Amino acid sequence: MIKIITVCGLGVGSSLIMKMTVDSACSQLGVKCNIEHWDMGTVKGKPCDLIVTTEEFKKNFQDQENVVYLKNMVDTKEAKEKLEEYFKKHDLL
Amino acid sequence: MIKDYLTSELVQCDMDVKDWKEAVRTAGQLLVDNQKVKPEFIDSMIQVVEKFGPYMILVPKVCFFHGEPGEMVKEPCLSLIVFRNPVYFSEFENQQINCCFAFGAVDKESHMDMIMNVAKILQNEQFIQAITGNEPKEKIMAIINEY
Repeated sequence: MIKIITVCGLGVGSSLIMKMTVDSACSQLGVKCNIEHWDMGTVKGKPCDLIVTTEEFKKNFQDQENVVYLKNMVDTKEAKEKLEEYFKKHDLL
Repeated sequence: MIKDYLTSELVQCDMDVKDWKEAVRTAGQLLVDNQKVKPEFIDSMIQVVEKFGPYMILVPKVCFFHGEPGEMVKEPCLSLIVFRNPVYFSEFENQQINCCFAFGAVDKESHMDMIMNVAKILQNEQFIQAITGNEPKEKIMAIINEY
């Protein structure tokens, strides 16, 4: 089970949308995952395998390697491609 | 369903807005006028952008403004305005938007169904084309009524 956290500023809108997109992408990839959505203020220090957020937050995660950035938050295809690449690279598929 | 939230009085097209703040105020005022949020919710939506940048551009050219969830919001709500001309986040990286939603939440999760439907309608290319291309309100409402 891979633990994923989607993150946005407030943890109510964008992160929830990304959670749904990531959920569809993971089912298409056949990957079992547990996804939570959080805001920037509370995400630090929460244990997870991967963080998914938007390009706008790149500057907040410069010291972290386990982050995937989405351009279009409802595009399952983009999420699937980026997650597949990440999972392959980290031997999670 | 989206159509239960985005009723005709909460959707306005061909709006002449000069910058993103005016866009937030216009979309937010629709929620205030329809007794969905308190006026200070509009300031909260602006502060979120000032603090974090325009990360809420969910789909290129489509912005999803939202403020702090809680007591400023009377019930989960949504409004949509479509601009006559695009506006830019000139204080950031000049990201362009052609329309925007204003979204109010009372807590972290009770709007789950609404958001799920927002995600669905935003995957409809015809809808994206209509709201980013300032197409007539009747056309936009017709698509909304399918969701």
